[in-house]
Amino acid sequence: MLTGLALSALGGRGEGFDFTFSSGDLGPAEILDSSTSPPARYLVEVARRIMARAPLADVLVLANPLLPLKAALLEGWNVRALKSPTVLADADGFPLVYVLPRWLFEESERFVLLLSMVDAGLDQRLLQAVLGREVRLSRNDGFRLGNYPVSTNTGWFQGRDRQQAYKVLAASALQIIATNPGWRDVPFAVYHPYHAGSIVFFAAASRAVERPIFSRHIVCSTYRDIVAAADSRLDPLWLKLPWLPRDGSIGEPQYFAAALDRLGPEVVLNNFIVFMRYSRNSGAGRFHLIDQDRFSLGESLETVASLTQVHAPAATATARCALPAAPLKVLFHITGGIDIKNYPKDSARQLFRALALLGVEVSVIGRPDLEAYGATSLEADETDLLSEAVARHHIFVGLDSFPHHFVRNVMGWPTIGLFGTTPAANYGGGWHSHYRTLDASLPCHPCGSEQGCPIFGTAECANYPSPRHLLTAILEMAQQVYGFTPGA
Amino acid sequence: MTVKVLAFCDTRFQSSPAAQRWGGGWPALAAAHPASHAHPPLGLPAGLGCYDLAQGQSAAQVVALARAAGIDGFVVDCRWDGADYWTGALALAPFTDETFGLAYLWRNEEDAFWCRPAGMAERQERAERLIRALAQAAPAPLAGRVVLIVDRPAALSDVAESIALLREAAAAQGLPGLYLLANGAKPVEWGYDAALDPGPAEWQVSSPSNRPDGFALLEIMAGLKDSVEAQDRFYPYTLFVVSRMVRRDRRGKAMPRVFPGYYDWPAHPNGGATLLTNHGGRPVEPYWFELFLENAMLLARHTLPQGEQAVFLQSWNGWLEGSQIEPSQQEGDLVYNAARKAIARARYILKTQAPGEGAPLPEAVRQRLDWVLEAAGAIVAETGRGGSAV
Repeated sequence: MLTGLALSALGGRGEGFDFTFSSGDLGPAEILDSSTSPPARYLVEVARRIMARAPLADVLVLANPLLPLKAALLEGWNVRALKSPTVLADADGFPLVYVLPRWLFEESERFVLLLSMVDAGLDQRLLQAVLGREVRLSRNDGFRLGNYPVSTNTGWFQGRDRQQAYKVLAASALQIIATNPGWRDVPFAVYHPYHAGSIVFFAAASRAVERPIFSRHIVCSTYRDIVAAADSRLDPLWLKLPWLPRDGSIGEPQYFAAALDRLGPEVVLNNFIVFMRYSRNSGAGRFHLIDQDRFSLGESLETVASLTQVHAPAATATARCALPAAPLKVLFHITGGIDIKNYPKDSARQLFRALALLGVEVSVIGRPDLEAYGATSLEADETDLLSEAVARHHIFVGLDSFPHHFVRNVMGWPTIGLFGTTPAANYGGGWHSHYRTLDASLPCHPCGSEQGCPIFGTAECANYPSPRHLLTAILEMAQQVYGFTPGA
Repeated sequence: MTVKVLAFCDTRFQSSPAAQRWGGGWPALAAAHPASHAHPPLGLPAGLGCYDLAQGQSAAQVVALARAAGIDGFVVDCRWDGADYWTGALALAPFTDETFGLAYLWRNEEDAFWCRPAGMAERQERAERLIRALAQAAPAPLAGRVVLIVDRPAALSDVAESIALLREAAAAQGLPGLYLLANGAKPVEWGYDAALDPGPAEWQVSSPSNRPDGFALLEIMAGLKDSVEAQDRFYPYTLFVVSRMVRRDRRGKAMPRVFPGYYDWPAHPNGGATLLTNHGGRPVEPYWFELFLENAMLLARHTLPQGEQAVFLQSWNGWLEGSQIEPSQQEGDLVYNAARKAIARARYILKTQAPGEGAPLPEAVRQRLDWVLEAAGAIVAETGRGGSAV
């Protein structure tokens, strides 16, 4: 729930506002669901929405977005009486409500992004430092929140371990303000160091932001080639650590601690860092990661028309192969590292053989075993090798992984995205003549499994499109983009 | 043009004598008691309460709530009562328009007339009556035509002729035409416009999870074990619904039917019920239902022609089979909200999937692709048996 009250110093009853995380409508009472946004980003958004609806309000009572609170409940807590800046907490010091002056958002909104939202004492001190005046900390000793769940019905993906990251960054911000007289000019940095596809999305999002709050991006130094090619507007702060392993052997909080240690005080005390790894369940909404990242970076994105996902890219952003349309050349990337992510073997064999029968030249990245079925296997494990390989083909067909996201979002090449266990709308999305996603739309999609099919118990995913579906899509795209007709 | 969501709505929840004749409704819900601990209790209405559709205000609230979920119309039963066809649509008609209309499910197996040969004049007259019953409210059209689902498509005495008669009667009465759906698992035939996935009790692709062995059967016969284990069929919901949706290209032109849960034990007091189960014994798991509905809408967009893209939701108020999405005392508005969210999400995704600028492949090319794929499949299979792939 995303809730607040608008109060005026002139008196009156005030007005309550309830917003919800959007499922896709983006109606007037809905706010875009962004998995990379920390809770403080939602506090800012609720404040923006309330200020737009209540132009005379000078005090905002904002419920902690991490909690399932509604305006009617806030009214029952008699928060109207709290007109001076206050953080209202439960008996254990978890913040419930923030009472803040309107001018804080109008003049210094970005500093609200530094609030932990999980430690009322810390947030009270931080707000006091930012506002330059006293902020009250009021505890409700009669109410105890208890353990914050790892996953909530409103889509938060947290747990107290992960919430430590917010606390550490809020404490760092407090230290910066306390020790640096020029703190108002300290740059804001995004903490989102991995993985490769996500770096591509963040770069694309940074280019689309109209009023940037952030100017820097903490990113693993192993992604130098991607950052360079993806043309991010954020200056990289290189993190000299390998990216977080995907096998779960290292937890995100553990990695975060190591990252701050490796970055050192030079970075930590000279940048306001905001945690933008996943705070929410990434499958809760259906917005593309680029739009989710744009929201994290400060865009409000109040209408569907404002989303990147619903717009075809400008003509200049779409590239195409310079070779003659025939013979048609198609490059595949169908190996995802684990069986459940691979395009099913038998389907690939049948498809490649069918394409060969139609005179289409097929290349496939890293699959010499498929050469027997008419494909040429090639290596493209570096960005420049991938770019060169793509340029020699009319169409790229790829799984939900880095090559696909790079080819589509950086190169703008005609691309078909294949989705099995992961949500096509979040990572693919946005169709036009140069791009479309395919899956079988099974009721289990997206399951997100990495260890075999949870429904049928098989190693491969049944949600991948059939060879017929994929073959038709390839030839339709070839016809639309290159005027290619099979057998012509 | 978006994908329509049409929800089955039982119009017997009204006090009119015509509705009472069919049984069902709230009295049936109150009278149904589970015979086994394995039978989930039926839900009880919350929010809308035990409404009476004959009351305009109640019917208005029902339609308003359905509209708010993103539902585009109701599918109501059409039954022969011995003198005429009854749909219960009159109660809903004032609240229907071009954005929310009605489709019809013809319970033709209860209509013995159509199951046997009859004279042409008689058949024409009966067809006219049937069509008149479909013209009482604004339609929820597909391809611009009034939707009529034939519950037992093969039970009509001369299927092709019966269909032709119905279409003629519709034209004669000024309807824009009939969109005839065959309720069944077979690919569409006999002149129907498309097929509709049958209900859970009529089409099970996966195996039931309860298959008692001989020892268990002996225990049941000895009264040491609940006989429901041998008499009813239990299916894990997720496996059940995913199995129905795999390899859809084999189904031909078929509309998906989506349901949040299903347990029809009240209709099978002596066994034979179909029950869908979830982890933890919950009769409904909103998360999976949400995915089912969302994906079915996306599938409809990609597999059905424009103007004919629809998903059928079973059901709005199927309280007697546990498939209702109306708010209940047990689940609150969880299932209703799951439907609303799924529809909103799917419609958002569909907005992002505007077709490319070019035309789809010509039909002749598509047919050729089928042949090529068949040949490729044969070559690959041969390779698997030890032949040469190259």
